[in-house]
Amino acid sequence: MDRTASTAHTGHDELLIARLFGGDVDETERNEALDLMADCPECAALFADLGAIADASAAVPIPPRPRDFTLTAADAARLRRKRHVWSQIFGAGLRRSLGSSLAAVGLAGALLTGVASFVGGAATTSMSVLVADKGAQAPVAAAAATPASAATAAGGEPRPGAIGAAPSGATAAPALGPGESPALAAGTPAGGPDAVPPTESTANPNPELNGASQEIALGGENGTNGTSGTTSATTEGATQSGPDARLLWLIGFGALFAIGLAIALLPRLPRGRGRGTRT
Amino acid sequence: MFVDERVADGQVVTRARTEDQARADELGQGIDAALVEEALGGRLEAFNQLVVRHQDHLFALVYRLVPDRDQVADAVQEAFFNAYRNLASFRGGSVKSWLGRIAVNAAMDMQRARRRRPSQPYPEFEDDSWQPPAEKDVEPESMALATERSKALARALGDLPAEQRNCIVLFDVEGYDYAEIAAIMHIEVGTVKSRIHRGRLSLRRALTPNRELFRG
Repeated sequence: MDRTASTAHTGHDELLIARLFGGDVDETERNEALDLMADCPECAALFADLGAIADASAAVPIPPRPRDFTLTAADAARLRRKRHVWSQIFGAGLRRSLGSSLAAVGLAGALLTGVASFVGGAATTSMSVLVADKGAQAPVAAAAATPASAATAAGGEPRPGAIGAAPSGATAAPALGPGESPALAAGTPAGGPDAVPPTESTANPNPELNGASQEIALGGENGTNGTSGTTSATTEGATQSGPDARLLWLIGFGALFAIGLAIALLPRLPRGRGRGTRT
Repeated sequence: MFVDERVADGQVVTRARTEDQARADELGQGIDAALVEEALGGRLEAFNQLVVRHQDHLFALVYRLVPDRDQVADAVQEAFFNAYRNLASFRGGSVKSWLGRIAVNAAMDMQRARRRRPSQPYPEFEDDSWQPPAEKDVEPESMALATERSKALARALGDLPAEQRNCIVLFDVEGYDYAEIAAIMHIEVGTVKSRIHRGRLSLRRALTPNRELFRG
């Protein structure tokens, strides 16, 4: 029990007396408090003081009202407007806001997915071109580094349609940088017996083009045919896994857009006692 | 015995006051309910009749809760604004109690706002510009004593923590019981009891130098 000390009767339970005055005691506590007051004049005085203070509190005079608190028509209009705004925000307004937000997110997501798909495709193509360029440069470097090998290859019999066969796998391989990927190696015209098979475009039955391709293999700079062939192959590979994921995203955002539109535009369900019934 | 009589007297007085209030509430409840319905229908005059019926009570209530006299009128006006704004949320029962709860909340908001701005001046019932009107049959000496007592009490009440003061005023002056105060202030009944008991003891300690004023 918490005891509040007093100068006159330290150790007596003032809080018990206060609880007795407030009618907040059970029978045992009541008897205890009454015994305490019977034996201790200070406890009895405390009880009397609490009564006097409570009576005086109720009797504190109140000054007259400074003004009338009735509402003017302007007050009422302002309060109605404020209430209307809040009900719009937290009633139908909230529903419309939520629906509009969802629809906006869905639409933005769908657009972004579409743009990303377009840009991503272009980026993949650019990357492939870059890869192909490096591949095309590899034999150049190889040829420059080992002119003897190049000369040997140039001196040998041309093998029609075998542009993928490098003049020398041993000389082409060192031309690759240490960080270059196997795909880069696969894209290069250089390759040994285990090299990636040539693509259709590189295996062009046209002898003229084959000749041009052969120039590439020999270190010529006009390797457009071989380059484009590699580019198309790489692009095709990159786009094989992309469309599925993008399609899923697109469907998701589309669904979000539709749900948002439905929430925002569908009519409000009737309720029992709406705030809107009152003006 | 004095104690038993005092306890018995205190309980009887309290009960009698509560019954009077209940009877008055019952009588006025029908009128209030009709006015609320009309006000819900859009009649501002009906709401203003409610204001006229209850503004004195609300002003007296808030006057005891908010020590800063300048803020009392603002709190009462805000309470009526809130009542008008939330009239649709009134679910029946005593309009007086409903308005009282709104006024107590407005007063507490006012007190919280002032606590956030401690640099503001703190008049604390020090305004002597108003004196209660002298009654015809009361001797001037008694009148002066009552005035001094009220001032001392108001000062001591103003020094109490707002939480204790609110509970004491609602219990001793407004006649709410512990459970009603707990519901109004959104606290536990035990907390209400504790605040009232401790607040009374603090009041008594603060008024010890003026003890003779309360024994006259």
